Amino acid sequence: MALPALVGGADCGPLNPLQSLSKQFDRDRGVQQDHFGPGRASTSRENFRTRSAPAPGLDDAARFFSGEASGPPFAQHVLPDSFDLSSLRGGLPQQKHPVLPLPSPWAGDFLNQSTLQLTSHQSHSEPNINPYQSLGVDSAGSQYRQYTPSMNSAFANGVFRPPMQMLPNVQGVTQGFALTDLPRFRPEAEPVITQADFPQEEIHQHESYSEPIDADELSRTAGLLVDAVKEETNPKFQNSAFLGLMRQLRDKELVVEGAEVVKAQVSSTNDTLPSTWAQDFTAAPDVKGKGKARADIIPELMDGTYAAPGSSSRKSVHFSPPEVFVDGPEKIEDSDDRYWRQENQEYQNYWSSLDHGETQLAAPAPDWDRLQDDWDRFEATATGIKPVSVYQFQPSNPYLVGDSSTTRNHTMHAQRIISDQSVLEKEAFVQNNPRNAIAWYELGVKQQENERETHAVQALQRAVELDPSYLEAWLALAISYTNENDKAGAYDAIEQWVRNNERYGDSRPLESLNRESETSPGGRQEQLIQCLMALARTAPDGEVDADIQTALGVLLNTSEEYGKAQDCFRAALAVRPNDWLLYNRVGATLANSGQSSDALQYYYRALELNPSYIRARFNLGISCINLKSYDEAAVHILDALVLQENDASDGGDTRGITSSALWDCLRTTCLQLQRAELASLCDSHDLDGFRKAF
Amino acid sequence: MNTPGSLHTPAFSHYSLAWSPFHNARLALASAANFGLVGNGRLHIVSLVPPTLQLDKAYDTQDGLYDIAWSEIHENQIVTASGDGSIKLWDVMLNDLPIRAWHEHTREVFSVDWSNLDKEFFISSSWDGTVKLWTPSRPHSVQTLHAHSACIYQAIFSPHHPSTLATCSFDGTMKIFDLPPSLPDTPHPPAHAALTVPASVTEVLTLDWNKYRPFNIATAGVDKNVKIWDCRMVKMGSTAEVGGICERELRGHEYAVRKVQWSPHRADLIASTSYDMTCRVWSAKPNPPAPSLLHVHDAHTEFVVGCAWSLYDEGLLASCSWDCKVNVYRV
Repeated sequence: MALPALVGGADCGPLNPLQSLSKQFDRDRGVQQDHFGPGRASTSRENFRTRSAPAPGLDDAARFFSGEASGPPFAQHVLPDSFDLSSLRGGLPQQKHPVLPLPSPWAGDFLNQSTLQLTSHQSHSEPNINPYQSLGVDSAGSQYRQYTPSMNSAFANGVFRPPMQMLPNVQGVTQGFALTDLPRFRPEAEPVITQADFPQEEIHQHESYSEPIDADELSRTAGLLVDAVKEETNPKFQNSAFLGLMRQLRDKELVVEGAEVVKAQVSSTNDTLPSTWAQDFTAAPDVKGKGKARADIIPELMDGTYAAPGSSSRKSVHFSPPEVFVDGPEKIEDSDDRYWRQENQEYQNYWSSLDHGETQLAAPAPDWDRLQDDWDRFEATATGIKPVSVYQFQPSNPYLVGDSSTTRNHTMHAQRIISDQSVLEKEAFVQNNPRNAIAWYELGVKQQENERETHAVQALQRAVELDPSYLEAWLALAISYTNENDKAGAYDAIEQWVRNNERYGDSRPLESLNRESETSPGGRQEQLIQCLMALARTAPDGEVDADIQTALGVLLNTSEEYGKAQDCFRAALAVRPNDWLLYNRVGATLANSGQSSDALQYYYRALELNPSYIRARFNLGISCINLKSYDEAAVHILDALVLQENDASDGGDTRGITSSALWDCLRTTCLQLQRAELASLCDSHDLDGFRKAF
Repeated sequence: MNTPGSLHTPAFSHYSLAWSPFHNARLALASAANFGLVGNGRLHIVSLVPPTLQLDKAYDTQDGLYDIAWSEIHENQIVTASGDGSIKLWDVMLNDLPIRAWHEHTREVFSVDWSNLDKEFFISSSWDGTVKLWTPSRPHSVQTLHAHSACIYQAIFSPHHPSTLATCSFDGTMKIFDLPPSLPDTPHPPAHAALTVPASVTEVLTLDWNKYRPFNIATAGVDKNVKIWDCRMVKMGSTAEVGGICERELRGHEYAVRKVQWSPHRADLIASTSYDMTCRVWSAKPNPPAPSLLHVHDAHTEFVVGCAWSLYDEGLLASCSWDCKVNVYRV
């Protein structure tokens, strides 16, 4: 995130028109999450999550965000002090500048901003090597202060708000990261020392304030926004000029230059740049691209073409001048004149000398190794656009050692007993048996129960990958998708469930299912429902297939037909009177249709059957909130948090393991109880604080 | 329903609009280029000349305009809130330049509201977490209220009590404040709200005081629902309270709600606009004789962000959108 204003010491997160817009999209998803999760009043869990990114370094983040933790990208939570910059210092040219050692003369109010810029930048994989930074920082320093306000403009805040906040998938990524992988998480933000792009305001023009804008960031953010409405069938959304603009920004057909949105002209990997330094020349964006030369540096680092991470050659590639400036101005010498070429040449010279100097200072190989690892993982996750299928295990799992637990687990799983094993035990078993679909399934269901949907989805996806005919896993996956409001995913999963169901696999109704892409989401749902009903009818007299009823219930929930969904779940319950999951589903469905008081008994029953069923406990708390019994609600939610913590950790640092949805709910409850001091504990996810308070 | 008028202003998306309290057919529009993401702003002065709307005047600004309020004391004056943190006062009889400009907020100013009880004063609210009280005759703000530690989306004066105002914020709360008598400008500690209402677990983007029932306030935001709160239990000047009774929840918008406004003519009529590209009118009678949704205006083709009831012509509603249009219609 190149956007200082976003992080700029402001207490609030990112904001601006777009912000609310994107939030609103979050919200849309959130609704669906109510279905099996929180009741109505809880509104969007997505939004809960949004604020949640806090996991790592939350306390630290608080420093910047005054506890508002409004969900900046994860990297922002990583403290400057968590960067081990010193080891890298030798490796990169920027080190020379006063930027990194934070307390620089002009730092003042800019300090936080630059720090955060650094981190988020790195995490977003865009090390911009900006020549002007080195040239201009000192001289321009005095101006930063002056122009700081300009950086607060709407643009900075809005479009560039960290994508992490916008969408579940990304969010999930963050969470996955944060929740499970704290130790490894940190280095991630540390790698390359990019200087954040500082506004090159020396050429400030009267009318156009301009912020350095990270095109990748923008593009990614726009992409997320577009993704958020891809399910939207309303033609107005398809035709929306604004969303069209977002699409173009995503595809980098358009970029932001100064105060304008213009056609992208640089075709290199990193097309746009924080462009202001050239503004006084008002022309030649392409040359700007050249001048920066960063395009050459970064992509290589990013795209994994380095086969040998950590090899010292990498480093030389990075910084040997000829490589860096491989495509000099000649190549694209279009309309631009010699002046520009010379200008670029000067940069090159400057950088050449600089880089030569720097190359001498070799960074220790291990650092590069680690760096590469970080980048690799980064590709997979922080882009957020790609689905992440890598399940992040809790680190230092005590169950992982020794095979006694394995055998124990194995027998249990073999008998298909959903035991009271903790998540850690299940994870250990999975890690020891990574090809066991049943193990993955069990882990997924456990994570569902524990209100950690992202993990559940990942585990379940793995399960069906390993065994596509694993019916229970498909059904569970459909439920997780519904909770995540991924309707298409839910439909796919149910369709797979039907197709792989041997009992019905060859039956006629299946044929009525068109290929997925041919119909609209609404039509698909209708088809699936029809298909399932037909299947239910084919069952022998009086026999109820609980799975079909459950699948129907899930589908009906996606279309908010709660009454019918309830009937389906109840029918399933009649067959499986001891299935606590079903009790919770009936309860959640009731709560979603506004009958919180009726829901309570179902939650109680579910908890009777499985006292450590966190989701049911959370849902119970939410229903209590809806019924305005805040005392009771607080107790249930707190219980859920304690369970969640106990289940997923064995001492040590537990922040990040508990889900922020729970915390946010608890905070609201505490406010209702007029206990502001307790509410503030929620902001810091301080479970110990609560223990002390009682 | 008929459509008395529509106006298209190419390249400028609208953020807010306001009917003049003095002229029954005059409207002002706060607009911004590039959907307010980047670039300039423009203040439009528009007249309703049935059957159309006509653009009388436009003023360009350096940064996007997010909100607008007519002076309650001077028929030609209007104040605008800008993305660069500045607040400007314009006189529509003059051209090109504002007659006053203030720049104290450090972040976007997202709302301005003119008191119609203490007509000398107006307030602004900003993402910097403060609400500032202003009067056109002074070069600096009269008072600064550190109302939230997060962005404030809107702050408005109570139509019933001169020193009372309500704010809504990113932090999910709506707060009611009683402005203390003006003090010399010392560094103020965070202000204590007379009442804090945890209105939503997500951001609250907009609120409005009911014009007929004191301490009846509507809020709406990212959770898509319009909520109506009964805050009569608040005791102004006493210690901070938390609470609020949600007496009604209006559901139907498919995305976040950007603006709510009570009818100036009827106690139970409220309009809302949303990112779902509609403007809706609801009946808010506390004990619902269903249905509560009375009307959906679906003509806009982008997010609808502003709406305002005509003060003179009952049932006449104007809405404005990022589609660069302002529509005026009767409901």
